[in-house]
Amino acid sequence: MSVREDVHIVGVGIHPFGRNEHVDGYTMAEQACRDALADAGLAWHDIGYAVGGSNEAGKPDTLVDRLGLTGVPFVNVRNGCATGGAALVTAAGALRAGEAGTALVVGFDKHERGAFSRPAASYGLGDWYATTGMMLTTQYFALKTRRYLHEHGIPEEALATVAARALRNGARNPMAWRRKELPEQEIMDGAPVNPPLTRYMFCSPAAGAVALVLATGERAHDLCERPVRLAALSLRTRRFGSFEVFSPWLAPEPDHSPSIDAAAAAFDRAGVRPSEVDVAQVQDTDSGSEIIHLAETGLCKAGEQETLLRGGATEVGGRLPVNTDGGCLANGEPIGASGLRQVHEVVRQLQSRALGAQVPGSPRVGFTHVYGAPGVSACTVLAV
Amino acid sequence: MDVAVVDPALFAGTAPPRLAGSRCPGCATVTFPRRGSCPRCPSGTMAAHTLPERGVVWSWTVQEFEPKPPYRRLGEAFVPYAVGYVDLGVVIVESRLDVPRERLRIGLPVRLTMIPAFLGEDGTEVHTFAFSADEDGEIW
Repeated sequence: MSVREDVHIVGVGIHPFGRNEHVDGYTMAEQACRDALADAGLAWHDIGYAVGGSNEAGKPDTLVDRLGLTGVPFVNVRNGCATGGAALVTAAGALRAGEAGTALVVGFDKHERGAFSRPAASYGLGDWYATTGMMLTTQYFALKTRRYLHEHGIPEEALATVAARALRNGARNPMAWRRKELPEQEIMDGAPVNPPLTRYMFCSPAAGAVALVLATGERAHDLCERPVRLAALSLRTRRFGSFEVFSPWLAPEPDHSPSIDAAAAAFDRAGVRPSEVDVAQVQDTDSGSEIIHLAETGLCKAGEQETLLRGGATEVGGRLPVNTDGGCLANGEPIGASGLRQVHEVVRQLQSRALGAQVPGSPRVGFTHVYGAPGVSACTVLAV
Repeated sequence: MDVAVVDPALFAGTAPPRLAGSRCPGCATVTFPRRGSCPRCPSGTMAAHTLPERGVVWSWTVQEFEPKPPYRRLGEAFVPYAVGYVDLGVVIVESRLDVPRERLRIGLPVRLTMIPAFLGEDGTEVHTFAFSADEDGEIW
């Protein structure tokens, strides 16, 4: 790909994540957009293409009413947990195709309290699956985690190590929702939700918004002192044998997650090895998910996670800093905004201007990974 | 004796209980519940296939909090219950586990049974499938 076609992130904006009781989705999104535009030194009128994603907080393109009726093409995406990735891939594709020189991507959401609840029919399942108490996302994460720990000889204490680090990073991030550190023992002793996972090992649905401004080639370098190159972005859906949420049955053979495909494709396209990653975001809907995803994305080998976690490698000052803003565990998961929060954090880390804990030593290569129902994953490789 | 079940389509029989799965004549993929087309290969048809009634626990957890509706509890108060996946060899099936908590472990031999799930409109118990510890299975 020529330099002229390279897509860069030249501005970022974020509305604080949390319950945000008194702010609606559009207001959060508007603020994130204005902050991202200001960060890029652009006005809304300068934006040639826009993409927005929200699962439950409204139609993103109605934001033009607040930002300005400029006639800009504005695409709405709604792709579950991969909404942010889908928005980003849509905008980057439009820029590469020459549709515009600048684009804005926005993701926002606002959810009810408690675990996500879905009608059985929307997943092609009979009512029996829900009435008999099996249609719960938290059960899925617990069942998948227990099997994974068993197969790879990882002790349950590793789940607490993940949550403790997330909360430690969240405590230093002014945009995070949960900002109180907890010792590992307190996390282990927390109210059981679905063992082996306790309440502190799960993220919660929440509210928040993130916006990014993209630009191509030389324009990016004119706008931004240190633009972050979108070296690769891959979106994948599940293949046969993948262990997904709300599965009344599984095939008796190895799990093949869409995360494996999406990450491999992203690294391949970027020409980067996982070992070259200086700062990473992986989907941590719960502690077990992070452990599983560290290996599925190729950032470590399966079974190696405990050594990495215990040795501090995934801490902000470690060899492979993970979820440096506290991840989903500390920020919650407003679905439409969550994937873009990961990109926002990695962009700031690569520009050495993190809002919370900064990875030392001028990191140059970043990676993000989202995964969600019903078996979708999106990964990016970012570089300066 | 006939019992009310959550969904008759799940069962190839209830006394003794048998689960009604389907099998692809092309690639031998087995599914539960029954479905009309193979999720794996282009074969357009699936044949009825009664699932084995014995297997081992593949993973497990306990539902500690009361799920939101449409979940229906059996009695006045919510009682936590175990759920898991059971490896039946040809397929791994998700199921309620009628196993005491202290005995829950991956690899536990289990056998298909029926348990009351909730009370129907007329006050009668509606049953669903579950797996309980297979006392004979330990000597396999």
